[in-house]
Amino acid sequence: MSERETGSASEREAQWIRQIADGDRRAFEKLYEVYGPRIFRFAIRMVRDEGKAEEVVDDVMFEVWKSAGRYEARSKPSTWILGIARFRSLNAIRGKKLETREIEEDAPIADPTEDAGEQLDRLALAERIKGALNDLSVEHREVVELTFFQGCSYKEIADIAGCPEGTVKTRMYHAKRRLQPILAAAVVGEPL
Amino acid sequence: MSPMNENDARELLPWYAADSLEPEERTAVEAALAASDSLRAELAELQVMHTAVDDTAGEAQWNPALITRTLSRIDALEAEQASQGVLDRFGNWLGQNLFAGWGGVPTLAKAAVAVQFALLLAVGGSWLAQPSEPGTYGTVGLDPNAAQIKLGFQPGIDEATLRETVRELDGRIVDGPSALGLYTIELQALEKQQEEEIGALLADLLARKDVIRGATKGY
Repeated sequence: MSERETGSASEREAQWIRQIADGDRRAFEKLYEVYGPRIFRFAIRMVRDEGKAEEVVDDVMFEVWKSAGRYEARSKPSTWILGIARFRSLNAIRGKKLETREIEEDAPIADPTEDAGEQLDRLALAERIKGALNDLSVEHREVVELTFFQGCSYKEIADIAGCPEGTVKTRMYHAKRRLQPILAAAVVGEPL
Repeated sequence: MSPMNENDARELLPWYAADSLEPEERTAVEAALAASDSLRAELAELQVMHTAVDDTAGEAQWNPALITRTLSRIDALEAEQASQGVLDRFGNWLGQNLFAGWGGVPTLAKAAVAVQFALLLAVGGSWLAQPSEPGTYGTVGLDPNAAQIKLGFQPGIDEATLRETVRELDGRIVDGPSALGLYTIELQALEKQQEEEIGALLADLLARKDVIRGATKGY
């Protein structure tokens, strides 16, 4: 789900938010369908706990319902909502302290068009990347997640994280440096 | 835009790989890429990273029925606001009518009268906040220990199927349908603390995709 958010999608979502401000539950349900899974994915990457991630989704969407009337469309709906999600995730991390546990993992779904060797390589790479991502600091991890999974530009990430654009680029630089040995090995086809 | 140097292009490469640059930035990065082997090598790594981050998406399952939890909170918020709205209107009425001409009465006496009215109002407000939409099921005679679940049925399911499903669950409808068509079902054979059994039941229900579009624990 890395495709860029189109202008029309943003306009449609901004319209839903205006309707939500008027108490429209159908608009809320539509927005929830789009953002529930996105927030969950972001939160689980941040807090690494399925139950806590569900709490974050619940809190974020409840906040969206309460604050829809204050949304002024100065930023895209995704920027506004992911900004709330980031704030709530950081609170969840602070509340959770060190009591992290590994998420029970379902086996990733293999692409039937790939041969078995390619599938194993991809899954092994995903595993290693996931391990390396989990070792990153929260600030570095969120930049990678927002860039590569949520499709946010560096300017949007700066808005979401409330930091200068240069800081976003610096965080990405450090994240890349940590992941670089794994990525380089994958590019040249070394065994993972 | 003036030509971009290699370092500036390198900074933007992750967002080039993720296709989230502005068109002008994209063009400038492409020009830098054409002139640099090391940038192209780094782009290849970032493309691997992009794919790998996508591949980690299936690590935990999103539960679409989570929306019912948020909607329950919204229901509670609106009930509270409805109650508060009645209080506010009554407070204004008190100020404009009851206390009009009470300029000489001590403040404490006025406060005592106001508190009595507020108590009356709180009782009345909670009564007014109860759902009273015609054609819905009301919450009467709930068993405080019985487990509850919320069920959403697929569009087009007839009433006979709905009732048969509820009967199979040994349940009864105690509320609903909500604005989203969700029914709250009290399960007479299960108690709230039997979480494992409730979880297994919800999994069974979610597998019946021809009838059920969502199922979650009641709150």
